[in-house]
Amino acid sequence: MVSTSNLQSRRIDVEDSFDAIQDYYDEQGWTDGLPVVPATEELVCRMLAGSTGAPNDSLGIIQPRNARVTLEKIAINAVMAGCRPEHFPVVVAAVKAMLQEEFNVAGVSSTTGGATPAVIVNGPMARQLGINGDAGCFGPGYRANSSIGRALRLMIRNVGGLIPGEMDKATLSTPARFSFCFSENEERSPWEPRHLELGYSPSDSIVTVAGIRGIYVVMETTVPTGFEVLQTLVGTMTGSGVSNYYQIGTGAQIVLVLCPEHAADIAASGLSKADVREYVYQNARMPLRQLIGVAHYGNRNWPSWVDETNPDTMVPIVRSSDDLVVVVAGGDGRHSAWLAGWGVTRIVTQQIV
Amino acid sequence: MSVITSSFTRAARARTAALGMPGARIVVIPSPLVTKSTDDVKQMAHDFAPEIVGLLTSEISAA
Repeated sequence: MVSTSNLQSRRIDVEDSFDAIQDYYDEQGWTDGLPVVPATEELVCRMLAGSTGAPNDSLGIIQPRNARVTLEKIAINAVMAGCRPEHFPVVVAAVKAMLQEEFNVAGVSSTTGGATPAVIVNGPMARQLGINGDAGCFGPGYRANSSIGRALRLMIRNVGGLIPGEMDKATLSTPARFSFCFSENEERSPWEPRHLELGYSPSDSIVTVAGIRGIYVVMETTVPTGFEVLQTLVGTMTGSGVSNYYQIGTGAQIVLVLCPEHAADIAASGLSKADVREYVYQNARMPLRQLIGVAHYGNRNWPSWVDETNPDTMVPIVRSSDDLVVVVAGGDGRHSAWLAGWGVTRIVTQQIV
Repeated sequence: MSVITSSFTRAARARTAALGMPGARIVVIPSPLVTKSTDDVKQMAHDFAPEIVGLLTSEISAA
């Protein structure tokens, strides 16, 4: 285990009482508004034991604070978030993903649109760590989900410098900024899970980090076929104010989270995950005339193939079917969701090691 | 030098400090910008041009 003498962070002495410690964290602006686990030397060292690196190992620079991200800083925030040491490799992998330039963590975390990372875990580690992908997986009640997602958010705040009202300019923000982490429900998926889709082996585990600005839940309890389920889903994607239509040039993506019952119906209609992506790409489209002069038109970044001289041009919600990610998650019931990607970010996947 | 809208003043100061440039030159224009007409934006550009040009062409102090 790492020795406390290897830690480089500033040590702070605070009166040894719950209130004094929590008040100190709160006064420093280091929390999400909820009490945190005090990051003592011992707990930080135990967290670091969950990884193979040295405390001072750098994973890169996080913007906008332009700060160096070390394993030690991640461990401190993981302790504060309530992670167990065995969760730490997932947190580290998610941070690595978030630090990739194409993820644009500074943009995701500072936009008035109030976007946030959605962390999706695939592979055997999801089950080993108890990362819920079944009933209620977007919500509270599971320590792994809650603490891993929270650790990422505390990193963004405390190391990235995204303080609401300062460099974090979210107009409304989202409760998903407390934590948003779930696993794919691989057991109930009729298709191969995302890590196999991407060419990883069954024994590998991965995190997928998507910068999303909304969770659109779609209920469909009536129609008898998977095709019709998809029609309902696509129907919720075509409306004024969906900013994705304006930002396909910068590669705004979408994550479709199909509940197991919907997924089973869609598979029974003979569709694969790739077919679902293609269906949504072909059908989630809006005519240019409904997009001009409203919503995010002033900030549109359409590729050249969008013919702006023809009001009948159908603009797709993503620039290609490859910009749609499909996963199966959730429990019983007939509620799926689509997670709208923010406009200037790309979904990043990282293997957990 | 940067031109920002007024709602980003705190963010801009925090960002320049993070980059080690606490005294960076910033011109603050009224917010919001996105809903303004093209003509209004041109007028703002006209109104703020002297300040922008002045900051771009003046000597940078040692501090």
